[in-house]
Amino acid sequence: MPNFTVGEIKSKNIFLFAASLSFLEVALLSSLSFLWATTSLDRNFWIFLLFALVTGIFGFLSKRFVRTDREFSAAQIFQVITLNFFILTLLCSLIYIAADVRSTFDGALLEAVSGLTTTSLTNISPESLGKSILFFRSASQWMGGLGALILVFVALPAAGRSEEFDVSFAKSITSQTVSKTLHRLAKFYCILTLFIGGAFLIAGMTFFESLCHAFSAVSTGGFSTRNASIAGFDSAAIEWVVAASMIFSAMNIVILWWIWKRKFRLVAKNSELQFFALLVVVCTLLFGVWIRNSGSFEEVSRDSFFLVASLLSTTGFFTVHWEFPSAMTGIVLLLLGTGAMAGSTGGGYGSGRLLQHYHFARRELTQQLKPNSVRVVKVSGRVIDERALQRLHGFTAIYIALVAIGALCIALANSAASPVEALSLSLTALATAGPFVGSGLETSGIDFNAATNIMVSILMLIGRLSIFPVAYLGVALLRTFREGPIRKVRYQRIRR
Amino acid sequence: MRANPNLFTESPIDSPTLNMMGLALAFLSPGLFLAGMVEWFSGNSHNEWALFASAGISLNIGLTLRTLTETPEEVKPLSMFSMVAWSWVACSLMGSLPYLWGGVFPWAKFDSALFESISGFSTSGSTVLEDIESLGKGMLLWRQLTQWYGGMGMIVLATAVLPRLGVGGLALMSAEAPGHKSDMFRATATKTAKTLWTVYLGTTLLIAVALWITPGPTLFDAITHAVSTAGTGGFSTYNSSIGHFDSLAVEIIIIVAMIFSAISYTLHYRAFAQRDKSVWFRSSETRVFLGVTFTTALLVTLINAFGDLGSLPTVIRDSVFNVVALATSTGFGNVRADGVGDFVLWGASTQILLLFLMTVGGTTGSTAGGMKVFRLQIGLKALKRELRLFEHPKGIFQIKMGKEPVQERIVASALAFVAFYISFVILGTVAIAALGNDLVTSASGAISAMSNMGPALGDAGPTSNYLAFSRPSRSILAFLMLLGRLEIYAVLLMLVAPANRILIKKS
Repeated sequence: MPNFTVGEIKSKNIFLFAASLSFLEVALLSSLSFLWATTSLDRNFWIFLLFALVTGIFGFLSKRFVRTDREFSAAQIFQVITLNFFILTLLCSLIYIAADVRSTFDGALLEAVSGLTTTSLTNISPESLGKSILFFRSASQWMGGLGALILVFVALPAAGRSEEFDVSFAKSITSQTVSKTLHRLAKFYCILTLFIGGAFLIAGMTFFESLCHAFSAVSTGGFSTRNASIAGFDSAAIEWVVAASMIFSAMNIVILWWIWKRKFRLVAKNSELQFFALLVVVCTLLFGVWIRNSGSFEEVSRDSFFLVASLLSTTGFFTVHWEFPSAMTGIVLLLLGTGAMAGSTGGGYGSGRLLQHYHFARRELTQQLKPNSVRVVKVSGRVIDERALQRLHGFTAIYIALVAIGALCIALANSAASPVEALSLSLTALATAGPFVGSGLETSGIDFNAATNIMVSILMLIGRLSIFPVAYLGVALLRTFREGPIRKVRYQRIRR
Repeated sequence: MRANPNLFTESPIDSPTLNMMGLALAFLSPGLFLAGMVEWFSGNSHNEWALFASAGISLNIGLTLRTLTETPEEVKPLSMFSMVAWSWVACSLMGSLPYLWGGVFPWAKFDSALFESISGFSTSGSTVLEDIESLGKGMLLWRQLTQWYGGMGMIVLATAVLPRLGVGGLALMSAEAPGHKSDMFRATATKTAKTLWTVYLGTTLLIAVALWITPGPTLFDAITHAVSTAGTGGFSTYNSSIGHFDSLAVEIIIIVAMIFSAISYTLHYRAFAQRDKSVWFRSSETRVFLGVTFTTALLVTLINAFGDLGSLPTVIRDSVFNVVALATSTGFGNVRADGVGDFVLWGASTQILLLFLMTVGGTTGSTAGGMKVFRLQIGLKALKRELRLFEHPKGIFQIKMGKEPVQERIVASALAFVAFYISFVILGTVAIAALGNDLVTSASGAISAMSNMGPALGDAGPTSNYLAFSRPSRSILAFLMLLGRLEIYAVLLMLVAPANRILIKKS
């Protein structure tokens, strides 16, 4: 219903809307973290209290001036999400600076982006931090994961890109109205978190740790509460459970939804899932062959399965140091780049896109023999639209270009880095995984100076927003600059 | 038509593959003969009989095949693929014979001889010879000539055969080659070959004369290096390659010659025969190629200038030479006596730049390898279209090259080629790394082989050779060279030809 109140001023400005959204989210995060800080009246207590109050007030105030009852255009949805991510990052890095986690802005920015983009690229040792900060880190990843799902299941269909592979299965989970879809997604996401948290609890973690790890596992984030990540628990049961939960989080949430709804026939027919399972099995076997001398059969299979799960889901938990023989490094880099299934919280190029590319290349090869034939590309029994194929190529080109530019910049900023380190850092940031080849070692040539931190943060943001929304915002910004100075806050005309 | 000898059959067999193979082998014999003569008169080592015998054998086999078989006027696509691929394989086999007979490699290392020969005919220029200078002059000349022959084959392949097949989006270029489109295949191919080979020969002579009149290279040096430059091969008769001359003049001549050879011979033909010099700069592919080379050279020079790599003139000289050598897929080394100019020693950022540069290669219709500039252009345009589609999700945008719109089929085909290229590089890298090389060496080796480059980074740089790779890895690299040279599809379809019926039915 249109608002007929005379004199009420409500803004249509999307910047304000995104800001109020971000304030509310930070208020939620910090008030939850505040709960863990109540045991002692230390610095974190006051900081989270302050942030919870200030952002809460700002959020509610700014919400009063924003109209929420109107529909957004596709471009605006993307802009809201991207702006939301940017403002959240700034607020979170403020919290990290205030809580004295990092002293420099770029260091805090890296931590904040790394959390919100579910990356887990970090330069701090978690065990030196208070519980509230640890909780905040994991919860920010959880929020980032939810954001990624909303991007795929709400924003992309709204942008009229429903022929895109990411959302081709989305119909069974999305609803006619956006709010209903949001509600359903959030509920299902919470259920998944509870399941994973329960499993962790049973496997032997404490309540707090299982909560933190559930948050970062379901969002394929990867922040841990231990310095040595999952290896810090030194428990085979926990490693198996975490690996399995990573595989589940890397699956398309629609498939999990089908499993929840007992539609197993649909699950079995999905060729992306088959391809993903094939990747997991083959790579586990390959890694197992390489590290076969490192322990008993159970240890070897556990380590290699864990590594594959962590790489493919782009989570970034680790049980071994990421330094491998050269061919294994090659496969590790490939898996990093491949990433999770479309429609999951994981990042990367996407195994679905890889599958599409395979079918596409095969069609081109056969077309060469029968030049006049007309062939289609099919995945999971569905014909892929030619338009979607064009987009696939566009995406691939952008992805490769970004990896290359990122690696180049990182190598420029770190003169001691080897090409492999630079490439793997660029890949891991873009795929939002976390560790890179040689990370955590004394010999690593990457020393996270300001330039590296900023470059990596940009890559992570682009990777998390799956490239397109950022491109969207870039195009919109370009257009704005072309048409004139940035538009002022526009108020709605007062109705008579 | 040729006279029918009625020796074995009533009429020649319709086999374009064998016919083409015969022609290619017969073509080799003058080169082998010439190399034998040089070996005979130069004195030191007496391997002339190996070269003469090979010349005789190749002429014999070639002529026999030519008489027994015949190419029909119109050839099926699949036959064209096998024609090209098997001829290349046959030439490579024949080319390795003199090495084995001449004792360059012992018979137990026949794979090394084959590698050297494949590297020559695919104009790669990667070597497994530890001491090149120990070879006789005739053998060296033959080694250089393999690259010249490779270049000759490539010109026909790139201008007449592949565009007609529409391989990897090359249908785009089919309008440019001399010879009319409506002509039958045999007529077009012959016409194109004759015209463009004249240009090729002219270019080679020009480079040779230019090198000869500069102080430093002898006549033999001039000819051998001209031959491998025109083929964008990169074999040299010296262990330290171009660095042996240590002469700025020679380097400049070689740089110009490399760039010239990496530009389409169709354009050269039109520029000279039709006296229309602007044709070079009207072609957007050439412009982009020059732009990419120039930009990379500038970037690399800038990055190196801040590193600890000597005085500014030296840095500029080395950066430009090495970037051009890699951008044109020639791969000459320029490491001088004092060890300056080895790009393996440059920083990580330069190495990443060089790795990506190595994948691009030259322009279509030239002797250079790589993905080819026009596919890069199409990739970039696909990227740009994707961004434009954001503004107008329902819009329909055409990709244009110059002013002509490009068909969607051609775009798809070009991008599929890129996908194949990348996947083979990845497969090769993992396989070579699994056989015991570090990741940079194996990745650059795979890229170098696929792009027919020559030197790689890491352990297999310009001062080293491909003995840095293990024996099975070298076989993989040789296969990748062939794959890269024949634009992937020819080899793939040749391999799957027996199974193509299954392939077609299933997809």
